[in-house]
Order: sequence, then structure tokens, then C-alpha cells
Amino acid sequence: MRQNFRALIAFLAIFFSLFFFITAFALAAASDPPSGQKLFESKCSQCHGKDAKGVVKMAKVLKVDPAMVDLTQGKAATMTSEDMAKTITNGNKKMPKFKGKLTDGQIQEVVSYLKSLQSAGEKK
Amino acid sequence: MRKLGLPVLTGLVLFLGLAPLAWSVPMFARMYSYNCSTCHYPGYGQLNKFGYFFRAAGYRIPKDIGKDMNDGKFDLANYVTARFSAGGSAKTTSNASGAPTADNGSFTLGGASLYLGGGIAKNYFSYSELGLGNGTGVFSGSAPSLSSVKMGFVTGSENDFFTVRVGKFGADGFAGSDRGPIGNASIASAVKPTGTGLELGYTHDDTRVTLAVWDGIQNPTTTGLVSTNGKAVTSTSIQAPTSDSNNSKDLQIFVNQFIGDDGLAINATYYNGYNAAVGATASSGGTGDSAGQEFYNAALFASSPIVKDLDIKAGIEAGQTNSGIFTTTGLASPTGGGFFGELDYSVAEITPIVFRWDYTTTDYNNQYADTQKFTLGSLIPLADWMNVYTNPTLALTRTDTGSAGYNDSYALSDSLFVFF
Repeated sequence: MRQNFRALIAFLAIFFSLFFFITAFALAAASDPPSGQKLFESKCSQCHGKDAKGVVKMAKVLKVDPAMVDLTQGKAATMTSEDMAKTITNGNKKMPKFKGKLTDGQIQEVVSYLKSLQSAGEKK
Repeated sequence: MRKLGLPVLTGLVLFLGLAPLAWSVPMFARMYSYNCSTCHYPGYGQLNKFGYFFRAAGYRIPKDIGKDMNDGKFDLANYVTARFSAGGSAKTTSNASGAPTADNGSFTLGGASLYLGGGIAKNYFSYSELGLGNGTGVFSGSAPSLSSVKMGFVTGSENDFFTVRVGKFGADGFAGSDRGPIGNASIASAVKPTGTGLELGYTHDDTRVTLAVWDGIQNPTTTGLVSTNGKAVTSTSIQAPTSDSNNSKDLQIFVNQFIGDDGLAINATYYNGYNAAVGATASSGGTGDSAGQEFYNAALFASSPIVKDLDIKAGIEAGQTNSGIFTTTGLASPTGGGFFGELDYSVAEITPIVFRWDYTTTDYNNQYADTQKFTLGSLIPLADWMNVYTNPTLALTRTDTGSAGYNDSYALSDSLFVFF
């Protein structure tokens, strides 16, 4: 009897958890496709910063050279758009790969936005 | 095809079996497109500073508190992870008394857990783990168990937020810290009690404080520490870990402080427990007092980088029965507990080699009541594409038996884990 009761509780807990998830997201408003800026800020800025100059704190946590997360200087600043897209697609060491997570079009949008940030940095 | 349905389902059910442990779950990485190493260092199951606050903020980046998860788009894969595992061990023992102890080996096939959870909407989160089987022997145990079912709410800003968590807490470091040791972490697990309750948490910058009230199951120090699966280490335990009736409400206070960003951290825990069964079962080692037996455990842990790729962890845990903040006599000096030291060397990403020393005693005043354990192990990712890793371990356990000498046991084990 007690076993049955526990099994019932387990079933109900899972059922209501699933119900809660699906309901919560069904109620969430659908948003427009994100632009390169939105994508960069949601997927990249945690490590690279909104200005692409890198987050030193995050570099220390991840135990990487802070220069590696600064996309406005060094190797990243001289990368072609094609190489950038390849790196975003396939990842590089601690940099995650976005293949299957972002479409080719979305990756191009991120690259374009990143290039605009780099250009803005050069003008300053 | 339909004929295959029942056998396949039955096979899957039978395939579930190992005791649940707290490991990384890829669903959180999928949600944010992260690598495992974004949250884990030096190996799976160990959180870095980012991962620690990711969990504290309800499985989201703290700056995302108050924002819709994944821009409001729902993908079930971001909320579900399955884990399958298999493992084996061989052990030989030599006794100081000369009394023979049979060598033994074991093989466990078909352990599995289903994890369901993550950040929900703007401020909610959930985490549940469903496992089947008890993890001993091949396919043994088939009763489903919910080792962890939690719902939570988080509010505040990136550097200043409150959390409320309610539910059944597994031995997953919740309210504790996953910055404890890797491997057979008997001491670290002492501050990871399981039970049903409520936890209030507050995080400010690099500091996190939690206060929890549990229907706890942590054992008094006289009966030893608890192991990673929350069960008592010693056979003299008088408290069935899975029986809620043996417990009253327990209290835990926890503080964690990060210093800098490269892994230096210190945390302290005070656990005030109450074992209602002791009073009623004096013949089993209890007090005979119908009011039951109060006890406490206190622990202090620290982790720090030493040089590049080499880190150290250390900690001490101590406690006393018939003592606590609510007893008329108040707190007494601790009698049991232990301490540990651990070196973690990162050979590669998420691939540490670990050397660890544990010392535990049931009585600090008795030099013959201690057990020492030396562990050399590693966690090695085998196939990145499907999150497979192996956990080979060599352990020497030395138990002091008094003037007769030591009982020594040597154990070699390995486990294979697959996450989806």
C-alpha cells in the first residue's frame, strides 16, 4: 500500500513538473527572430562581453588567457568572416560549437555584428 | 514493430539500477550552448565559480534572473537528461588478526537516472531525479525512486538574489557545496544530507548563505559519516536512512565564500540533527530518553589553486551526539568526524587525476577508532559526442584495530557513465 502510494506520488510529481514546463512555455509570447546583436548578447557576451572586449573575470574562472576572450584585439581581430563563422560553427577549445544550435544564417548575423563591433573599436 | 514495444520497454526499465550520484547534467549546457567546462572544473561533478552561481540562481546565469528562459522558446531537450551506467570492482582484504576475509568483486549493469529540470519562465526552477534500482548486482532492484524533487523561486539581480527551494533534497550538494572532493567523498558528503524540507538562500557578490529546515536523515557522528548516496557508512547505524519516521526536523546553516575568480573558496556548514529513534531504542545504542537524541556536525572546507592545472582541497568535519543548540546542556566538544586532503591535477579539459587522503574517526579521544583511506583516481571523457566518461579508482583503506594492528583492503574499481 505504502509502495503504491509512493509510486503514485512519483508519477504525479513528474506529471505536474512536465505540465508546469509546457504550460509555462506555451504562455510565453513568441518573439521575433533575434538579430545578430541579440544573438551575440545571449550566446556570446557571457565570456566575450557585450562590447566583445572580453570578460576578464570569466576568463579567470575558465582558466584561459584573458586575451583569448577579447575579440577586438589579437588573432580574433584579424580573422576573416569565413574563419569566424567556422570557429562559431565548430568551436575551439573552451569555445563551444554552435553547429546545430544556430543556423548558418544566424551565424552570419553574429559575424556581421561582431565585425561591426571590431570596426567601431578601430575607429575609436 | 509493436511486438518489440513491451520487451524494449521492459529492457529499459531493467536497465535502470545504479544509486544516484550528483553529476553534471547536459541539459543545462544545452540550454545555453555551453561546454561542460564552462561550469565544471577540474572534472564532472565539480563546479567552478560560474557553475556554482549558475545552480544557485536556479539553473540560469544570474544576470538572466527575471528574464524568460531561452527567449521563451521551449525545447524539451533543454530540460531532460538521461544517464546510464555500468561498473565493476575487485577488492582484497588482509586482517591484522589473521582472520580470513573473502576477496570480492562486483559488476553492476544498467544503472540509470532520468533528470528533469532547469530554469522556468522568469523566476522559477525545478530539478528532479528519477532512478530505478538500488545499484547492487546485475539488474537488482527495480523500484523507482525519486531521489530529488525540488521546486524553487529566485528573485533579485545578478549580484544580489534570494532563493526559496522546497521539496525532497538529494545528496547532491544542495545547500552544501560541490566544491568538495572528488571520488569516494565520505567527509564531503557529511554536509550533503538528504531529506524533505525548505531552504532559504541569499547570494551577494561572491558570498552565499543558506538556511534549511529538513526532515533530515543524516546520522549522528557516533554511527559514522554518510556516504555519497546518503546511506550510513558504518554497519552500526541505528538509523535507517530511508525512513522518515526516524527523524525529526533538522536544521542546517551554510556559508560559501569565493575569493577571487580562479577557484579559491571556503565554506562552512553547521548541521543540527535530531534522531527520534534513538530515545525509543536504548538497547540499540540510544539514550533511552523518550525525547530522542540531538546531535550536530560542523564542517569547514577550502579549495585553492596551487600552480597551473594543480589544485588542492581540504576539509575537516566534527560532531557530537547528545549535543546541539537546542539541548539544555548546549554544544559540547566534538568527539567524531574526520578530515581530508586532495590534490587534483588537470591532465586535460575535464580530465583530472586525483590523489586523496581521508581520515575518519568515531572518537577523537580513542587512537584506535580511526580509518584512513588513500585514493588515486581519474575522471576521463571517452567520447565527447555522447558524454561518455569513465572513473577508474584505486583505493587503500586502513582501519585501526588497536594493538593487533590494521585491517587493510585494496579496491580497484571503474565505472562507465553515458549521458544523453
